[in-house]
Amino acid sequence: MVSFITNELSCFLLIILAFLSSAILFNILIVSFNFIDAKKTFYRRQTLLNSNSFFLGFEFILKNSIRLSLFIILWFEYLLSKYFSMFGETILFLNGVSFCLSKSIFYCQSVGFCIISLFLIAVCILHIKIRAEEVVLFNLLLIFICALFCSNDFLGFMLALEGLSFILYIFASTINVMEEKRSVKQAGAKYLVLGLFSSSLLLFGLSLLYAITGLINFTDYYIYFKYIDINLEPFKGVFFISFLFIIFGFLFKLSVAPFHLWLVDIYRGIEDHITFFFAIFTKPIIILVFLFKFSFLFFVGFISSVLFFVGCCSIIFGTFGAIVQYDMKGLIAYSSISNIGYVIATISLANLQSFNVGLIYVLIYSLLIFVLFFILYHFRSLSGVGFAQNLYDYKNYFLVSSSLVFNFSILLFSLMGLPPLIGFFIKFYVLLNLISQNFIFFALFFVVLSVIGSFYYIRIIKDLFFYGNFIEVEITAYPKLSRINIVLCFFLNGLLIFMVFFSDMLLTNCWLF
Amino acid sequence: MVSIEFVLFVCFIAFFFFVCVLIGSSTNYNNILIVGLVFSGVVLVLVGLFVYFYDKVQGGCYLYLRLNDNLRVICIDDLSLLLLFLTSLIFPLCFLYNLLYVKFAFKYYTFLLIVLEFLIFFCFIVDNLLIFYFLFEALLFPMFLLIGLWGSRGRKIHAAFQFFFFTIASSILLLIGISLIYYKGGSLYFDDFKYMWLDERTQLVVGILFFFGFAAKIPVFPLHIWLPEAHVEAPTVGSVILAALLLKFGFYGMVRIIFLVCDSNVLLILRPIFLTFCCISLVYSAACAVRQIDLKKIIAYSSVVHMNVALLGFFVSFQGGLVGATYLMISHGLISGAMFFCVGLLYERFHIRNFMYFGGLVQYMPLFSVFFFIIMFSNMSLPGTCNFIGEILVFISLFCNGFFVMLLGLMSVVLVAVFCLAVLSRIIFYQITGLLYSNLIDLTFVECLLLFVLIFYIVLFGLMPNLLLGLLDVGFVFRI
Repeated sequence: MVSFITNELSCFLLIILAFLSSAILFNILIVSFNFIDAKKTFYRRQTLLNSNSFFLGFEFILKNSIRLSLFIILWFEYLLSKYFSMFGETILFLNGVSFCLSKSIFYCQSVGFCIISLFLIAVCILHIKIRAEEVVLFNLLLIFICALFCSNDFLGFMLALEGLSFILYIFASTINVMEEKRSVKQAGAKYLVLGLFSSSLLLFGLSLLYAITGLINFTDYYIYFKYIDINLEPFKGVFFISFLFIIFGFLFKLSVAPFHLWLVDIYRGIEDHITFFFAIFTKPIIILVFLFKFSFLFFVGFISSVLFFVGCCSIIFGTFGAIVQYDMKGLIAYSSISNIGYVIATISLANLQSFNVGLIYVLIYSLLIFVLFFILYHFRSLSGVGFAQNLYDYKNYFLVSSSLVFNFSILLFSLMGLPPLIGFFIKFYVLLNLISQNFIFFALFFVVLSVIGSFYYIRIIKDLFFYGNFIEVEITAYPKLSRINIVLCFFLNGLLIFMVFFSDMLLTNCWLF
Repeated sequence: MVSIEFVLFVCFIAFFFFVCVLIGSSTNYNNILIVGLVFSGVVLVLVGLFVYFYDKVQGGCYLYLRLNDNLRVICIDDLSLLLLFLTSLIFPLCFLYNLLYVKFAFKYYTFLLIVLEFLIFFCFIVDNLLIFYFLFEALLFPMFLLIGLWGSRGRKIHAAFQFFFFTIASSILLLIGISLIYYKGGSLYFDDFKYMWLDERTQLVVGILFFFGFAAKIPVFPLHIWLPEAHVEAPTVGSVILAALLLKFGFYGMVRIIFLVCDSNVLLILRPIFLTFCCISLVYSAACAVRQIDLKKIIAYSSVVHMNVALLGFFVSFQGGLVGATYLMISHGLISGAMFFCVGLLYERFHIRNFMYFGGLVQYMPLFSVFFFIIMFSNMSLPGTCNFIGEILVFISLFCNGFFVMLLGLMSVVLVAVFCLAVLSRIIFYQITGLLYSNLIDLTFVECLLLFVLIFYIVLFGLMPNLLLGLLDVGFVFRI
């Protein structure tokens, strides 16, 4: 399984390290510049906010540098991945920590990179003021994504995962340049504690496994559980307990239904763009890691039934929880809970097609949330920064900017799962997958719940277009929108609509496995 | 090899997107109006071409469009041609009506109507059940906005939500039926259904699923609740489109799916269930209509009656009843459209729909009274109007196969006559009420034109039924 470091690979690793370190150094340089500027303008913060192209230029360079480094890494890795075999090459470091590189791992990394770059592009376009330190942290995030997917044993995996979550804790407690919210500190602390708790669950499960089997490598586990009947093992109960701990750790991180209550609190507390970053970024990454590294769990039958039950729970809780939410962030949180339920229920069927459907579901859902992020940032609240939090702020927005509202409503219909849009197709694949496995009753159940779930989206559309009396609205109070942003919104929505024609291709090409 | 049909198809879609962009970018009232009229005119010309070159080659199907051997896109046969004719006739009239009366957000109104026409046009001609379902569901978005944004009263939000959720909930049944057909039968093309062999249990389940799935559209008794609400709250054009075109989707879907998928012995089992629901809804809604005072609600209930009479013919006997039912569909599209236009014209003048406030219009609005008289009598299926032909065909076939059902159906005819005469006598012939002194303007030229077109076709198809009956052989379902 293990081969020694080849010339090429060491070269590749060196290049990556060089690029990352140079990017980080460059960023730190700019950050220090920015600190000086911040000190100068500390007492006239208002003028800083209203102006000025100079700072925008700086931010632009910041964000561009990270994208540049990102694409260069991706390109190098792509070049190298041509030489790898299907099962990849393993690199042994000291202390027995091993890393692995292969084509599918490269694809997983590129998914993570694409999400980050998309997010940063959106931040650039929307002129969201973010701290310069955050940009450095994004750079660090890239390293940990690389390490997370490359890791080939428990130790490397836990290191990378903890590093990644560490950055997310810092993101959660980051306070905006413009205003300081107390809720951010609280939410950040909460996220730290809960994240550590879920990691400790995971770690406990992994260490139990290690205690029984003495294995540490993922591939070894795959072979072990493929050829050994677990019911005949003497430590059968301990196996089950360790499996449950691992799964609960992951479900906690994914905020699936019995472990979902922290999500709403934290989404409400933290900054707006960070909320969206969490909603877009964490779920696909964790699902990908779970499927690639921990697919050996599915050799044990009861894991699938636990996952299916939890997925159904999550759909129910998410759907009915979202109905009583009257603010946007709570809605996003509950919607993501119910949608992650569909994903978990699908992948619990444990065949290749269902893995593919689950992956496509979570990727397209995060793409939809990304477009939601892009569009929502044009709905300014009357008081304060960020987008309008309360659903009451969206009423009669049709009179303010009709084209934006049309865009938004098309996106909402897509999230709802109305047929000609991409949101329908991902649900339809889940349905077909269930019916092909003879889960007809559950198919019916899922569709009924998605219809109930469409209520809270259609309520937003109702508020946007016709909320009672038209005379109440003072149109002049809302800020003007630039034409380019609206065109971009149309473009993104159009992209989503045209993805319908390729959704079949996405499904049939098992590009990730 | 690119055929002429394919070029036409692509050109039409490109034209649609061009029109959408044109409307999105223009701010001038007149430009928007002209673009809307041109679009509906192009559809009218297209359908006219279809009718002119109509030719029963290629297995009862005039126009096939294939992207390759396996991928069929479009098939126009007799039934879809008739419904296309109805679509292309109703929409220019709607644009004309909007020209007169819509003041609020005219641009978006026109945009939504164009999207609606495009979707309905393709809904009637696609050859695949799944694509039909997609387009059918996509109609929800424009209709929801049409009811919610341009609706007349405070209850419109309630009505829009009811419309949305009844349709979505019934579409669950359709979706499950579709996936059942796909997994058991292996194909979703309408043409393949007649060669498809399914076991009897699946056929029963599919029949019931599709009946109740489309029953919310027709609508049949327990699922009809959204219809009067939606009709009352929708703007005039919205309720015209709803009554004249969207209700036909239920019928169209049943003809395309239930008859082809289910065998005759399965239909024999299902028939009593379906007929019971039809009879209940028929008598119930006719009795409801007698007690209503809102003009739009009366028309809504009367359209439920007529659609259910058509369904009776559809299910009772396969031979003549189906032809009568199809005839009744077309005539109902024309007549209910005309009635809603009439009520809309009254509403724009007096801003009231309660018919107890009206009276004696014949003395001050003679043109309107004449038109309204003809339309109301054709709704009562007077001989010489197209409704009569459809009903007589349905009842003759009922006489052979279901005598008791025919008696119930004839009862509804009596009740329809009761409320039609009540409305007529109150509005036109009663003494003048104080309300009417203010806005007594008779119909303008455009309004006359609008009603005249509809009445022309009502009378034409009433006097020369062979124009349509020539198309409607019994074999039109099977595309023999």
